[in-house]
Amino acid sequence: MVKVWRQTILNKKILSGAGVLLALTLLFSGCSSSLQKAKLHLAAAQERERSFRTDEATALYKKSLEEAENEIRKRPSAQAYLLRGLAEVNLARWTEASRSFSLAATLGEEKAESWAREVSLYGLAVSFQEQGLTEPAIRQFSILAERGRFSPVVRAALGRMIDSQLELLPSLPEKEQEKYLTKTIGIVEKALELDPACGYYHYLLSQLLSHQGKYRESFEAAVMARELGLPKLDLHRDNDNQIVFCYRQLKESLTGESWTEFSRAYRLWINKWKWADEETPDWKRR
Amino acid sequence: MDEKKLLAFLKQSREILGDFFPADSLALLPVLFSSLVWAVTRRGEVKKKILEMKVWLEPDILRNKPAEFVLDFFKSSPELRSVYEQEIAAGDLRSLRPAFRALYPVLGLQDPFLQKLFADDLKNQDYRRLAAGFKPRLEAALSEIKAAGGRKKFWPTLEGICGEFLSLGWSLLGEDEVRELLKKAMEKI
Repeated sequence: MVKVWRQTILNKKILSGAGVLLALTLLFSGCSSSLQKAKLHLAAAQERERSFRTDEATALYKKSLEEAENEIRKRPSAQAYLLRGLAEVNLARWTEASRSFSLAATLGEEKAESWAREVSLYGLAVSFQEQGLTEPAIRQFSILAERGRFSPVVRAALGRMIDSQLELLPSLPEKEQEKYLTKTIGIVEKALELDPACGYYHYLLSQLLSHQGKYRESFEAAVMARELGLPKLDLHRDNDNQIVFCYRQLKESLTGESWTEFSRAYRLWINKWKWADEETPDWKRR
Repeated sequence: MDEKKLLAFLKQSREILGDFFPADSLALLPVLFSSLVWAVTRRGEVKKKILEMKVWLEPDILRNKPAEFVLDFFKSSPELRSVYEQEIAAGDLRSLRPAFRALYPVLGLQDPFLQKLFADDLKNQDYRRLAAGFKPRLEAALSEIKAAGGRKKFWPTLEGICGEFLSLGWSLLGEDEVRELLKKAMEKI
């Protein structure tokens, strides 16, 4: 009975998969314009990104960019420039993206104007940072992180702002350090309220909490980041190292019931992730 | 695939890639090693990633870690603990932080390209030498890759090598196993 039921489910899955494939094929053949292809590639790239397949996503963003460029050559329009800009943002080509959004705004796409400004400001801040002008760079990253509306820029700016400020942290008096960390955690929490499923924000929160010595909370945020997915392999590994680090710190500080409870929960997670042991993530060489 | 076949494959790949790099290249073997590891770990879906050498060296993790994290990194590895014994005992973060910046991507994040680039230092457990030479050696290797990547056929050639490697059945193995097999085989070519 169970076998029949499983088979039915499987058949349904295959049929629905085939249906999606057929619909996509028809959509592709029916909408042969480069604009449609650019949109489809962009949507597919965003879907891959959400499911943590960022390398495939990058390839699809490139395809989307190519199609948008084809469309611009044949029929330049606000939408085509907007699509080109979106692909460029996701490929970290900030200067080109800003230019594309400006052209989209000139052709009547209202939202593109503010996107162009944010992308351009971010590009400027990155070049300030590369020239060693840390303070103005931090100021601009901070403005974008707190007031930006274009989510790819907001995320990138927040990461850069935090890392730049953490670099200055050891030179500050202890009281100032605590004040800075609390303020920055507030900014990340605000970003999380708007986008609670963003693994990268949970990663940032976990890192900041460990600077405050709040290892239990840091561990929980790192678990959230892992479960929601992180956009790059080295981020994923760094986050796993953070989980192990929190485990070691808590092993030293927790006692009695608190330790029993934590270690039980920890074991459940590492079993789920198929880690070799408490301190060896699945990707680590043994 | 047996060891002989693997060695033959690696020798052939080195010869093919050799056309793109200088004779005493720093980057050739790290590029080959990391490309094959990535090809396997990403199960062939992500060959495009290999074509984006610049991307994986972008700083996207938070590099500024708490002092406790840095100390834990050095203390938790027996080799590092013995090399940096004095600094750890004195809590000398002024010395440990710069070393951490070089050693963490290699040992902590296990970047395959960096592991191959610094293979000799790792083999000799000469972590101080690795840390001191990290930046210039990496910059020299990257400039070699930039020059090779500027040639029209370089990336398709590398992609072809990865494709051939995958077609030999390596995708059935885990990253650990592939790393170890490649490491041993590369020492022999």
